[in-house]
Amino acid sequence: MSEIVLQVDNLSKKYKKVDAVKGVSFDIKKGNVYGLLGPNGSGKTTTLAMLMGILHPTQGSFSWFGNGQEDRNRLRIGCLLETPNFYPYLNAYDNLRVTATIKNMQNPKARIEEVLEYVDLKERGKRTFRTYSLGMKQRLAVAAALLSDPEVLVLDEPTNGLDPEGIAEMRELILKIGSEGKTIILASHILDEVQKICSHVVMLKQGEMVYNGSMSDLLLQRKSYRLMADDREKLLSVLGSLQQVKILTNEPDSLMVELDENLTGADLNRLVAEKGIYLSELHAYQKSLETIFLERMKL
Amino acid sequence: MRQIIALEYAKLRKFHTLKILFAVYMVVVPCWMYFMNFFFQMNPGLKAIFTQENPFDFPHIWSFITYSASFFNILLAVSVVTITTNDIQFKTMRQNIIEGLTKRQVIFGKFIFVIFLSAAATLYTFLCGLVIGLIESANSDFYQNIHLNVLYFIQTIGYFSFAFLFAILVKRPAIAIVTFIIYFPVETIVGNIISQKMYQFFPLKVYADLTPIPFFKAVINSGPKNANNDVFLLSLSEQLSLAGVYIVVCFTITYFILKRRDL
Repeated sequence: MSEIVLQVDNLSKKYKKVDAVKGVSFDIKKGNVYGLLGPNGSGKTTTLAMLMGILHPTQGSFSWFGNGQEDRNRLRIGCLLETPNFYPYLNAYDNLRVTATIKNMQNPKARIEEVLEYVDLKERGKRTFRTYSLGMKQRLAVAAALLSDPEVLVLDEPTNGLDPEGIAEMRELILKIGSEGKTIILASHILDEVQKICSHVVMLKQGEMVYNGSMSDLLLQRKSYRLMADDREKLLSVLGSLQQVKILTNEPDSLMVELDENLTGADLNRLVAEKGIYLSELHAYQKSLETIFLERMKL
Repeated sequence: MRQIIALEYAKLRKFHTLKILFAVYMVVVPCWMYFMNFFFQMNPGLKAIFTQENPFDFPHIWSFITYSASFFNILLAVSVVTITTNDIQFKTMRQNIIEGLTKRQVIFGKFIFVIFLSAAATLYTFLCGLVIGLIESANSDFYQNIHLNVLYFIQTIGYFSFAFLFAILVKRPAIAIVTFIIYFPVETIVGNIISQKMYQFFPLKVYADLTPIPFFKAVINSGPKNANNDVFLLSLSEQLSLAGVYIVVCFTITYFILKRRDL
């Protein structure tokens, strides 16, 4: 069993009358890439801010590396939370030197050069932070998060402000870091990115957790199928009598259905055959994370 | 401790506002001394009312320069407010904590900075007094009253820790600076309205009294007394103790504010 790097237990945050996070509990296992999903205001950033020690939970607790909420835990974590925050009058080198000092790094010069190279900021590293574009600021924040070679990386919307090329590079970067065995917690709106990168998903809706599990389980939970049969009317009548089947679309060239979690395509084929219908086409469609996410947010 | 000093140095070594404010302080302190001397030379009648002493003579120069410099502490206090509020506005304090700094270390870093700034201001004021005195003084008794430099050091720590508290409370640079500056006359007015006896215990009054007014000594020495003819000026040791208490209270309050506050 994988080592647990973070345990979150019934974590809640209330602002006056607003429940920003309501009793969220989940575990993060070492070496996995976790996606933290949810629409705006669902409590993603609030949850991460509590885990990073800058917001006080109203209720509940969490434990990093089995050490509880000790401040020194954060020295082992690289984090980009919301917007990049740096000293505007310092250049990239000097700003990373501040981070290196906090992280207690000895002789960080070479590592600073390395991470600036990594995020393609070495050329412009001598310019002050206030002159940077949003994309450059974001890349510097990623460099700061990577600087101390942390065991865990927490990235909140790391592709904010990046152009398509930058987004693709960031995805490659996160995949590369993930392949190095690092644990990553990634909050993002770009679900396509999350589907490509993450092995696990925690989904939040209005501060409540609506899913916590592996990406593959989530994607496999509900498959849709395209069906064809010679006697279409009879097929529709048979499908209508099966409670485990939900008809999604009924158009001349496309009859799409969704099956309950415990029913497979083969089961469906057998059930309709028992009623004298022989399918000429049974094609399974994998739903995208985006589709599943939107469905869950509507529930 | 070395880590915190290194961190504050890394953050502030290119902060030009601090350099500019300190440069202004460096210019105005000796300039003010020469201006005062020139003014007294031009107006001997007025000088006789203000003081019987030559401001540039040892040991009087120590009281004149520390008292004069204490007014310009406001410049350096503004830099303390600016640095602290910038840390909040730029969200760099929050980022420092995310990266692993504790709130205790944040406060300790600011304390170190306050001590360093106070030491720099005191050293500069001392050197100004020494140089001006060596050039202009008719006698060489520079040891007498030299302790006023130490009192000036405590005073600057007091002012700056108070400025730090304002910055943490108010958070916005301009409002914090204005509030801090306005607090000076407000405390004086409130203190005088309540009672002279109580006023002695007010924080800025305690700090200010560490470098006593070198003018009107005859009047002051006759003593502010109450209706029962009791002298109610605090002794130096009482002032020092109170100043120490206020400094500790300022940093303790800021620590608890920061500890409880969501960043």
